Amino acid sequence: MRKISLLTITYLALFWACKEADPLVDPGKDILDSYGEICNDTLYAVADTFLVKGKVNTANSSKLLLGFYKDFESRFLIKFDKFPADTIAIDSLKMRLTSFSSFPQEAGSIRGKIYLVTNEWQESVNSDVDWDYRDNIDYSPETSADFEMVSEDSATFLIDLPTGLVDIWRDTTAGNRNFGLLFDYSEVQQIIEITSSETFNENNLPKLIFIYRNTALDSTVKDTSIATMDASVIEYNGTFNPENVYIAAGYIVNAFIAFDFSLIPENAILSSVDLFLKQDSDNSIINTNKGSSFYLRNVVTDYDQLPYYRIDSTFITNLAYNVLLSEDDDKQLRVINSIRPNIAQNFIQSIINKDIKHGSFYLEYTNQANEISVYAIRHSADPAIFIRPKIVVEYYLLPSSRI
Amino acid sequence: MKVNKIFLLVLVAILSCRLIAGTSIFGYGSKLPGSYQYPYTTVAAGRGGVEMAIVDSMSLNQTNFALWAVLSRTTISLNLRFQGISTKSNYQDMSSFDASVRGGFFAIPLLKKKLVIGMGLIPQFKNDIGVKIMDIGFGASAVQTVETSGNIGDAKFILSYAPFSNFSLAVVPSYTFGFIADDIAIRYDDNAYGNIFIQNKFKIYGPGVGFYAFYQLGSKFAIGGKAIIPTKLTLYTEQMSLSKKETVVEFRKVMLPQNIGIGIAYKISNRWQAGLDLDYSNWKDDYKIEDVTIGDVTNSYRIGAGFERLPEPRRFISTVADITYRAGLFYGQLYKIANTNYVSEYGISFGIGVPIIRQNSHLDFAFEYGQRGNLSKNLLKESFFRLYISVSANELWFQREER
Repeated sequence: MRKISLLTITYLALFWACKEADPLVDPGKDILDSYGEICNDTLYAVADTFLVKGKVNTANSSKLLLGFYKDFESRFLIKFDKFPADTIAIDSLKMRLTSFSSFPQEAGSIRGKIYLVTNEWQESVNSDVDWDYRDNIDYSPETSADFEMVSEDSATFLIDLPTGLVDIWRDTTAGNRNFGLLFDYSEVQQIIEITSSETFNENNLPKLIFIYRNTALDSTVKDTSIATMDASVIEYNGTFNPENVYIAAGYIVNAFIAFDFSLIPENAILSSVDLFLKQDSDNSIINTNKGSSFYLRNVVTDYDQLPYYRIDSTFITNLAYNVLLSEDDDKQLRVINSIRPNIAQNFIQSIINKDIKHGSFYLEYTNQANEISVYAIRHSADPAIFIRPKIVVEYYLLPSSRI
Repeated sequence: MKVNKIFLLVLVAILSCRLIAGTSIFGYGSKLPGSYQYPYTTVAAGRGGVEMAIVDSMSLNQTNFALWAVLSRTTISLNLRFQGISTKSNYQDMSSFDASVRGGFFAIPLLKKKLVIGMGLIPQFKNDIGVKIMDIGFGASAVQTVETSGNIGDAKFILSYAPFSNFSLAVVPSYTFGFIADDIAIRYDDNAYGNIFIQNKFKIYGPGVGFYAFYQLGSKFAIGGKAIIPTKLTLYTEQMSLSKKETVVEFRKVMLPQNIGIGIAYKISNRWQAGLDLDYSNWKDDYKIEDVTIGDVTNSYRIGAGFERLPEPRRFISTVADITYRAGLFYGQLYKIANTNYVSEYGISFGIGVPIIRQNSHLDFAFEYGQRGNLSKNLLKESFFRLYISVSANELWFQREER
């Protein structure tokens, strides 16, 4: 019996013998059906719209915007807090500003006036709907100055200011305070972008330059002070055509696009995804200084609940939910090449898997405060079907079983 | 004696460990259980797979269990096979090798030459192949690989009874069980597309039954037959992919086809006998998954014809005189349809049987060479050779030798 047992156990153990790596046979796809099916589907947007959020908080913006272009106009506020001692009489007062660029980039110059601000403001003033610069500046010629800035990139401007402004700012008697200056433009069809106090480049920081006589040393002294507060005050006087879809920066407009992902089979396993949003150039105000990069977020409320909506906040920690779009050579916003697999296999797959309930998206400029730009996209009812917003999904259609 | 036994056990171990596993490409396909393994023994392989009606008191017949009733001694048989397959397609030529157990049984006569019981294991389907299918992507080129491994086998419980000296029958309940694993990968060349990995695990199990009969007509003719009832099995599937968090579990019913066989034997003289076997399986109508027939299968059959030269009746004349010589031919049709055409298989075989241990045990060897498929019709062709070895032992393995 021992021999029978030994042989039987040996046999049973070896019946399901270990597997080694097999060489792969390539019989040709014309005779051997692939297991499952690779599919490529295009989903056209089923709905789209935009919401105008309006004024943006420019507190942390690295640019100060000044000028008028199309329906946008912008002024900026600036404040300095450090001055020479009260006893020093200022002989000359200048402001040094550095341009970043202009929009649109055309030759010319911007002229305007600088006014003394008479009331308190915060750097977030642009989003304060109750604060109107018109009610808070001193128009008197003694405290005003003219300026002219040529629209060149990285140009430095020295603007003469009345020296009496320093006395006003230094005077803290009777409740007087320093509220800084407002830069206003005259007639112009251009917006100049000035480097703000938020810039990392110290050489380009807005500065006040004081020249005065030091009697003790019997010499002329040049002193500087860096701006402590600044903010753009942007106004939009136009209307956004409700038949189009917009994304805007400088004056916040966000687009919403909904897709019907139920058209993708539940057993689909995604390998790649791309989004195509064609620019509507007739309705766009494209600031070429602004990088055409956008975020795509998932809206976790039903599309028909707009304008109330909530965005899936997990994009903050989940890279797959942080979709970056950029413009291609055909003026289409697309998902950046290298992140497509990750977006497909995590973000969009979660929608297919119904881990995320809603298949609608929210689009915004990656930086909404730094520049003015309006990106209009061809909408879901565009007569030319192929340029409607669409999402192209490549997936593997997994059969329930090979056997 | 001891040396012989050790040699046999070592041989079992070496041959059963699949150094490189590879089974026929014609066993692979969607909804297919694998490469079908005809149950014939090494002894039968030498004569074209013929054993339905050929009496052999030394080895255990694996095709017709009714022949077990003639046994007078407790017997054990183990069959092993080493095969090499050369696969040719319009895209690639490749070779693979496979060594595996072809069945092992033991039989215990309760009444000598009257009533025998026994049991054993026998493989029914083998899966050890990796295939790759090129250029399946849409947006970018992708390669799909499917590596499948595992066996489906039968545990058989034999009750063989001879009510008359020239007639016997057997009832063989069986339990089919097996495990198959598929590793599926889709790999893209382009990094904008994510690779996809899926694993399927299958467990197949369920009872079945087969009926066998044998009838000796006079001293020269014999006829045998079998009918294996269509077997309804449970198919348990587990499907896993990184993209789908949950493991998809499914229970289904799979029906394996009815298998019938008939064979005749003719004793030409004391030392020469010939036989012919036909094996037929009704795949087209019987093979069903969830009661639905599968399109890409057809009914399979195999015709084998062979003869053998038996040893000199007078024993111990010489070693050469004790050897059995066998030769045969076979032709058949596989159950898989390839390129909308049936797949034929044909070949020749040779074998010898050598008595060992004072005629109480037997070593048998067989060699088959054949081809299946056709490059123009099926777009695939396989050439194969098979080396069989089996050991059959009688009572001396289970009784003490007298000293």
